[in-house]
Amino acid sequence: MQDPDALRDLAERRSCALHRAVAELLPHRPDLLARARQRVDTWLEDAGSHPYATAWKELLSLELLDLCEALGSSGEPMVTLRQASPFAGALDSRTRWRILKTSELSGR
Amino acid sequence: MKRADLEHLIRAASTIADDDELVIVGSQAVLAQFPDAPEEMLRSDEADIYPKNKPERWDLIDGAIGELSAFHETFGYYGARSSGGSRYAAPRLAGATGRPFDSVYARRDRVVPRDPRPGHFQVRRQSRQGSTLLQSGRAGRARRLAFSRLVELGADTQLELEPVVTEVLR
Repeated sequence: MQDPDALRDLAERRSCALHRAVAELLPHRPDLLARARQRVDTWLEDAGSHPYATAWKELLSLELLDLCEALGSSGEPMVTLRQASPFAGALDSRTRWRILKTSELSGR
Repeated sequence: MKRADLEHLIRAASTIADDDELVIVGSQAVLAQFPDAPEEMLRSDEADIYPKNKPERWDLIDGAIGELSAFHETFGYYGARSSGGSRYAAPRLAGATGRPFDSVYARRDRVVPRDPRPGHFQVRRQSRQGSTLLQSGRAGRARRLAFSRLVELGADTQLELEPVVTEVLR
């Protein structure tokens, strides 16, 4: 069985890497941002079931450069917000797998 | 995430890993054991899940139905192996001797609570100053109180993210 701390660290690194990849796409893919905003607006209609919706709404209203920087942040607030991300589906499967494979458990 | 969502994830993960038995870890394990857990305790879209008999296949689950996957896009939740989710997680419920109710075995066709927990409970709050008795009562009432206190205590800390541990002792 893997070390719990190592697994948690891997999950956070993977999440961070996935969102950095999304951040790299955003300047060229405004549709991804529009879709994320639309999704968050839908969440806000049932905010009780989507407790991070308001925080995401604020985040998605930032200037693009600031948003991109925040998405890949390893700070505590973003680690938490990424647990419920509106960017699901933003990356194609091949890109996702490549990122997951490059973020392996240390020592594997 | 709702109970039906978790059951869907269990079926999907079971198929992907070709293992009828799974282990759910972290906050969503509370949902597996207590379907009446309040939404405030279940903020994450993620269920930390891995195959009990083929644990090395957790990576397949992560790849197929993990974070930002097409599955996540379609259903709004996902399965991954992250050892109980973020270290900055929501309030947690712990059991006798401080053991957290944070892992549960499941089969693809039904979730099996590790412990049905009948009887009498004390609800205690654990802090640096020690353990404080809040109330005692029968299982259902004590659980509802524990949930309500967790929600109450967690509401102020949801983004400050200081974990609050409430211990439920039999």
